[in-house]
Amino acid sequence: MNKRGSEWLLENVIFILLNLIFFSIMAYFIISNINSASVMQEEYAKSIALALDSAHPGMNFTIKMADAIKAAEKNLGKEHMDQMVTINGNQVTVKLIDKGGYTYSFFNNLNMSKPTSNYYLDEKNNDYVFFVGGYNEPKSN
Amino acid sequence: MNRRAIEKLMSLYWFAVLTLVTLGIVYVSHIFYGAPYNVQTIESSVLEDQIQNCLAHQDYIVPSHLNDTFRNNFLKYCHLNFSVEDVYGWKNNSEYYVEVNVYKYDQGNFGSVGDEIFNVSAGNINLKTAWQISSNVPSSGILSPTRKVNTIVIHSTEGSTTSGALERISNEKLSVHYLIDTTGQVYSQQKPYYEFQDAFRSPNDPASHAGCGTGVDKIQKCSSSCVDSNGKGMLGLLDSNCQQLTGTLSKSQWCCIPGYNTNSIGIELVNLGARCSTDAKGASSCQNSETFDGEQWQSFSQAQINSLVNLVSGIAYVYNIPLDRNHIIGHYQITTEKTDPGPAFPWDEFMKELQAKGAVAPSATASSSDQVQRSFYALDKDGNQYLVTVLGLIGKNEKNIASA
Repeated sequence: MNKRGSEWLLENVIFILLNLIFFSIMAYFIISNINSASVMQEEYAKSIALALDSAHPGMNFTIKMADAIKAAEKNLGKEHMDQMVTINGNQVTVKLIDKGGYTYSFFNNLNMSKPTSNYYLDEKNNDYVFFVGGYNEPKSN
Repeated sequence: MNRRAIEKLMSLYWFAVLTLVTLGIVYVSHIFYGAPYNVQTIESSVLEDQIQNCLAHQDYIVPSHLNDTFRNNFLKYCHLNFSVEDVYGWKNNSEYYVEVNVYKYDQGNFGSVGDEIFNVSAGNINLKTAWQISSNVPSSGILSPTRKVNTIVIHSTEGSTTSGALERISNEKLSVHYLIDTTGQVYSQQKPYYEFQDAFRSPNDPASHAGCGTGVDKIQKCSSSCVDSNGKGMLGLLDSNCQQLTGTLSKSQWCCIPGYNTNSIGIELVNLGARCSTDAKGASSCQNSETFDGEQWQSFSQAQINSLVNLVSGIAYVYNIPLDRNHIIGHYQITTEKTDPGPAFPWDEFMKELQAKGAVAPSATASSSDQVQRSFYALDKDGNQYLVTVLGLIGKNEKNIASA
């Protein structure tokens, strides 16, 4: 191969490599956005709130949260898994990253504020289990 | 420049193009995934489900619910909690609004909707206004104005019911752009009142609401070429001598300014006008009324005026209409044959509120246009039929929480 031919090859190889790097960064960015903990937090907080809005006393339901549990274990640590889902009054907070969390409210006047008896993490099945106990003390308009 | 240099330049050019495309894709994906995932439409539907289940069991309305005790304890009875703890800057009761209206319904009489017998509402009423505006007024960003509109004409129906007014409009081959009932509910072509879609026109199409009609047109047209002492064009109903036509006019004095249908938007307000009647016990058919020249005129409700202010504000923004009495007029200013909206319409108060609000983009105030009102039919134990409408609106200001 002459000098001119090797230069041409080198330039094209560099060009193709740069293209690949760019596309890889873009693909990584999009995939990390889709699977990011912040997106999952929002998704699960809203799913739980909507399920609670539709729930009645005596019902129980399970939400499969394997991906969120994995993210919480990685970001919060196993010892802080109790912070992953919290229900305070009529607000659900899902926290999958150390400095973050997503809170969403529900309008159904359910008493869901007792962890372990109203909701708990089933680590064996990678689920979150919710037990709807009863309604809160009613409030007038 | 030799061939090698051109090739290098082209490589750089394509590299720059690739960089820009990549950055564009990254930016768009960031915007797409960064925006909150909106579940408020689903939430609104679940809220309406809950209220429907609370009001009726297996198609039977709970009769004990149609009273003041239920109205005052509506949230309690339906197990709803609209209070959100204000830890993240959300205000109490500001995220939700519900409204229930129960009407008598006669399936045998062509499915006619009768009088409202019960209503209840709770939560943030501003959400309703935002929803009505976004449901009814074309946003400048969504539907561009394709018709030149420079005037808004306010009418009153001279009837007590929405269905009666729309039936008359349809029967007389007339049409209107908007109708506001006494509760402040706005109806339009996009959100018509039951089967009366034919009575409405899109704001981008002319409607037959301010024409002269053949009867008046044959008599005379009001003068439109009069000028005052300052050389400014005179407005109002003027005879051929440029004299203001006022008071009770004989038929030969009737006149009309033609052409308003082409460039105006018509808004009907449900109101009895001077048709308030008194029964044998002396009770008036108008709950609130005022007397002008010995005649009893029904007053306009505050909810109606509030909705009118919001609606006119949105229309004025979209069509760039000045908020003054030369451009926002009553039907009585077009033809001597008409008096609506009548002396009970609070022009001063309305214009003051409108000018204080200004022309506001509908899209800037509305966030809940996808949320819809639900209607269902129910029976009581005696077999009477009812039409129940339930409006559940969600207006959450979502944000990421820094530390939970």
